[in-house]
Amino acid sequence: MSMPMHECLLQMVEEAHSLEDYQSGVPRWCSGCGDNAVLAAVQRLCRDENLRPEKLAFVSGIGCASRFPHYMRTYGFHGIHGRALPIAEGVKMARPDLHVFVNTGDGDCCSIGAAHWLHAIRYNMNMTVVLHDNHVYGLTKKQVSPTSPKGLRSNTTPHGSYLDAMNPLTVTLGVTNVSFVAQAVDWIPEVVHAVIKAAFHHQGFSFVRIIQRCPEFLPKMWEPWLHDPQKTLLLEHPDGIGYSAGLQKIYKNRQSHDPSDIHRAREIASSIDPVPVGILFRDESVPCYEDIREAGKPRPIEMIKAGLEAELDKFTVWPDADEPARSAV
Amino acid sequence: MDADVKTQLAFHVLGRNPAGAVPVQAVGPVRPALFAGFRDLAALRYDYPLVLVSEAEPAEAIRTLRGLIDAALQQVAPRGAAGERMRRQVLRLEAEIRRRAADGGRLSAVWDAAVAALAPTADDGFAASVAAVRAAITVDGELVDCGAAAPKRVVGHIWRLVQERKLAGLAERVETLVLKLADVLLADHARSEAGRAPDALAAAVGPGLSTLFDFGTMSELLGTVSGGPVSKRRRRRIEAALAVLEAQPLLTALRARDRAAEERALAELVFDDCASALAAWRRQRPALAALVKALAIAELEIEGRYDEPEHDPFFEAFSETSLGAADLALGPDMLVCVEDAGAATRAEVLELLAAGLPVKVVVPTHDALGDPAPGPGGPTLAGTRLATMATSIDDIFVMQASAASLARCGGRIGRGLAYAGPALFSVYTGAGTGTPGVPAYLRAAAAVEARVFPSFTYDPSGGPVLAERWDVADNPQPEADWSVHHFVYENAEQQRVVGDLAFTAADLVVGDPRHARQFALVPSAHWSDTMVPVDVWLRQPPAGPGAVPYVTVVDAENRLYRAIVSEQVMAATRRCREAWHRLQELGDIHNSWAERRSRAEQAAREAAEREAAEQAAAQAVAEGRMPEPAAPAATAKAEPEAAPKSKPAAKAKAAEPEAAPSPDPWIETPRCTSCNACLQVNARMFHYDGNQQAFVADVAAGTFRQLVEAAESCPVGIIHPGEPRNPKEPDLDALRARAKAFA
Repeated sequence: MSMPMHECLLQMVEEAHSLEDYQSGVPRWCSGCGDNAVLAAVQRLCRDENLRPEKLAFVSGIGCASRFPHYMRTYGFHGIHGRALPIAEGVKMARPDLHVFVNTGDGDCCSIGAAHWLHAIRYNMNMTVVLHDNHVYGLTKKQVSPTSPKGLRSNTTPHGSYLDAMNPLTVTLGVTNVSFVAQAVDWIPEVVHAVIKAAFHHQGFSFVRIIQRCPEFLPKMWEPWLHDPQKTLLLEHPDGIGYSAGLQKIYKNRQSHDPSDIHRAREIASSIDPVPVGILFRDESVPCYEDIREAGKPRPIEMIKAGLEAELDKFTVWPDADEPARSAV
Repeated sequence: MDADVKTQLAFHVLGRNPAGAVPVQAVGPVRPALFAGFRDLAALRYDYPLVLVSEAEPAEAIRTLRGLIDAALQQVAPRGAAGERMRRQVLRLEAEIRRRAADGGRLSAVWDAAVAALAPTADDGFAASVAAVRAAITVDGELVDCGAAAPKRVVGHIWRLVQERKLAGLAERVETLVLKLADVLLADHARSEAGRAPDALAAAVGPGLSTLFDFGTMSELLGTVSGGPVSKRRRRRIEAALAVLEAQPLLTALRARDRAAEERALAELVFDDCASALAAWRRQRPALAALVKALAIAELEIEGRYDEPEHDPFFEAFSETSLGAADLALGPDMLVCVEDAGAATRAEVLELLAAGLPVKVVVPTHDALGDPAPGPGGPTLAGTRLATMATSIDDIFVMQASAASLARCGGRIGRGLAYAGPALFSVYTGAGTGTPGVPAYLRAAAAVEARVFPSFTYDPSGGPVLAERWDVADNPQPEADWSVHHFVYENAEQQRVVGDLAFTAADLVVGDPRHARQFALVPSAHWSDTMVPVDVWLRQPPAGPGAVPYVTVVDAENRLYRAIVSEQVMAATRRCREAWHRLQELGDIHNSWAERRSRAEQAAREAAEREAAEQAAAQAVAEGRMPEPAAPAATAKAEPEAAPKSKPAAKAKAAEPEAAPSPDPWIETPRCTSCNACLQVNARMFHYDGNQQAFVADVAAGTFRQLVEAAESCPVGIIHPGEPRNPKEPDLDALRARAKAFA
């Protein structure tokens, strides 16, 4: 027998999953919203990889995109604003056997959750993080987010926003231990799927930024890119993602980029026109925090009890040296 | 022919010393000339004794005393005269420890005893110097001297470390499974009637809060929850698996870090002969099968994927005969140490290895040359073949080495012991019969130099091709037929003579008293030009009459002789060289196939160049001008071929037909972003496919207007409305105009 027996036997009862096995409810996103494209791509990935639903956990914060776990028939955690990443890290430490996905928006990740974002990159835990970047707070009816373009008129900036937009890619590429950075645009579903698939297979913190259109509050922002394929730059390399012949026929603006070259990745990431899509950076050698800390080790009851006792002892009021005497009185 | 030459030739060919011939005499107590510099080995610094370090990775578990002392001195010895003094004192101690190493013991104990013995005669500062160096040596372990027991002790030590590491992984896996299975049973108990009983619930909450709850009501409430206890059959299965997993003495000892119990359990896996190992394996096989079965059941149960109709028949049929290679590699390996006692032992070892059992075999060979062959005599080299034969079994890790190089073999031994299959370690110790007065270490090292017992490793896990499996790099001067050493001596005129001496197999045989009659000594007064060194003789046998091969030897007083070598020893030497050539090929030192191909290619290239030059010259002559330098044929041909390549591509593009607008509505489905916009317009007309991307499912389910509206609402503009199906639909002209943008 060339493989361990339990694996052989698991194969005997392995069942193939369909897209429906991962679908739960009808998404309430606006029609035309890019979140739908990401949802479809993730569900396809789960089906193609035949992932068991009980081995998947989707964690989110607050925002339009953070409704994502509701639409996956898997474990899910709709968390609090900006805290998707720490929750996901806790899940991964307790259950390293789960495939953890994080769905977070530009406000959730880059504003209130920015500190968690930076440290999550540094911790490099094995999870797939999808930044649904639609450049605006949509759920609360149009306020500027850190990635909103300068001059955007919104409820909070009626005279137009004052600051240049933050670039989540260059920020991520600047943090210690960064191990995977990729970008896709919601209007090229093939790339969304391929990039999320590559991120899923990467051992470490895979950061994928999906540039999305908000059909309700920023419907025109990406119009020029939608109508001019030259404004999209496909990154290609044997270590990157492949593109179908049909896609290559439309998008002729392509460039070879070695994902191991972080300096070039930073240069490419700075570009907004053309907008680069594909894998910008990948380094499989960065260790994962859960491996360093040996997460998932079994904890015998005695160990749990001892830990609890030690924790409770912190709050015990110990008698003073003369306590017995006073008690006696 | 000279009388001396005649008698020498007669000896070489006939092995007889003709009566009355003075110059040729029977071989006395001689040794190879290159051994002349080695008399008292204890006074020299060499790799022995070894220190077997316990708390180390297998590759680092074998350290040399010399290496430890050198590293410590480098760390603590001051610069200048004081440092030199410290070094001298510590090296004196090292020599003393080396003399005591044959008795064994731990480095710390032998160190202290040697210090105590030297202290009375030591100079000032001795105690402080050795104490400083001792403090810098952070490791300790048993000392091993070079001898018959060295291979068993070294391999045995690393085997223990490898087993501990291997089984620690299994022990952890078993511990995890035991905890998780126990959790399944606990959870089951909590769901059972007994677990839901008011008393059990009260006990679970604890006495402090028991008055706050109504446990009777709580019990009733819990009784309404769906999902009952597990079936009795499943419970029995889990309990049986748990019982097997918990009854593993070696794993239990490892988990409990009980060194004594662990040592006892490991000692039961060490055997001195193949038959005992086989018998023990037969006894242990059912237990291993039970463990493998319990592991598989436990993992399936924990995953919640045990499917009784699928798995029950499998496990009922599972027995010790079902164990595969991966299963065998799961448990501990047996260690068999067999002394090479002849052909019968070697056959047993090969049989044991070929059985594919989880076994690692150490075979120390003390006698590489063997007794004289029946008849004309000469060495049989019987002790050198076991490892080479084992490599033909293919999936066995094989290492051949001499005891002299064991200090460098820690990594290789560790790799072999960790290999998931049988492994053989054939080690020449030099402790048997051989040149009298020569220490075992020197004999062992000389056997490698003489290519009689070359060092090699065959590791099937290295890769699928031989280049990744064979390693013969750990041999002196691997590219050469024989290792060649510098040799200086003083001749009869007291002049210094400098030269090189090759150390051949005949050099190793010359000192062995069993083969004395295969050599005849010739003092320097009778040396002649017809005498040819053995290595030169083998490279190109001399054509002239009267030539004889010789090796250079010294007697007890270091007087130099040439020893004429008999035809029988020459045959054995030739065999060693051929075997070494085979190893060189396998180890990619010389590849005769590649060399032949390379020669053929070179010849073809030269011929082509010659031909091109001739053609150019002929053309130049024909045109009546000076000949030009000929261009390489390859370059001249490559350029015209490159040009037409781009043409078909350009043509294909030009010929590509433009797609005519379709009268039927359609969607570029692969580009659909699943945004729901079209489904919002008409969910019966547009559907999602298996990839959640839209297509036109039923044109008749909606109007042309809806098609146009859907196309307009699609953010990526991939819906093409085509032509209206119903000519009576209102506002068709306006709709057609709107649809044009999506044709």
